[in-house]
Amino acid sequence: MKLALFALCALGGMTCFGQQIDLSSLDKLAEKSTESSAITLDPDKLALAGSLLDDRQTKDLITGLKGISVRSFEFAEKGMYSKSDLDGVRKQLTGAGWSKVIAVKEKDEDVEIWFYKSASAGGLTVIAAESKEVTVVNISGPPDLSALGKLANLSGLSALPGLLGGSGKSPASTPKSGNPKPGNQKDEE
Amino acid sequence: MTEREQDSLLRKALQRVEPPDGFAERVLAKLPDRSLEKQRAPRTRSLTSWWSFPRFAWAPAMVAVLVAFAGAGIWKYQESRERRIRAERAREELVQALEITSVKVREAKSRLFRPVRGGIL
Repeated sequence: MKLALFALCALGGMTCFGQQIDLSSLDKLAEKSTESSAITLDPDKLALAGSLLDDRQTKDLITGLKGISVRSFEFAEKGMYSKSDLDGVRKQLTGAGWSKVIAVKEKDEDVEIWFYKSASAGGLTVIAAESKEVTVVNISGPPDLSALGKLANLSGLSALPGLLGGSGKSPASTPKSGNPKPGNQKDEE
Repeated sequence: MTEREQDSLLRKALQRVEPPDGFAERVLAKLPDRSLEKQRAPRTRSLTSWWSFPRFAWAPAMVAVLVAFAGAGIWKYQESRERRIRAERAREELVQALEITSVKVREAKSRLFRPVRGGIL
């Protein structure tokens, strides 16, 4: 009985927080980096930040988010980190609901944008791996991803609305499988 | 009058005369009851001397209430100040996180639509 309850709770937790990615595996890179940013905003912190905003709509957007995590590292030289350092993050993106909508691969540069979509939640993960810099962002929030795009009004995020459907294409058109959208993929070696 | 007669008269005048029956009781009955007063005096005097003045009586209570209000006010102010500082930090982190996201998404978008071989992907 207890085991069944535990399994039920675990399943419920996974359903509710599936869009949240644990970026703590990247924290070890901070020691090698010359500059690093580690930001973790949980719902409490987001509510605190939202309490200072005057605009009701923006405040609702911020308080509606479930979490924002950012890890950004800059290195003095090439090869200070390996692509396998990102495996822990990529592994989490293979779960149900995640789909890669943009993948740009150039020489020494690799950018991926993933969306999470379920009935009760939405999410966005950006992985930008360059030769001397690596950045991973995870935003989890309401199922309507266009709400994330509206955050552009807050700090000049001009690129997000178009990508997330805030003022452009609807995010509902993004593929729901784990395969990247072919039209949005560019490989340049 | 001879000296002997004078002496006899004086002795007679100064002779002890017993009071009538019940005289001592009557006199004592008219006096206030000092025994009871002595018993009460020390306790009642200390209280009445202090509490007989209302301003002194209420002063400690007023001071206690004022101190309590002042303490509560200071605590509330400190709490709201700390909350504001935490909110400011959270907002700075939020703006920084959104800026990093914006930059990376913009970079991805610009690379995606960069002209390649005379065309745009």
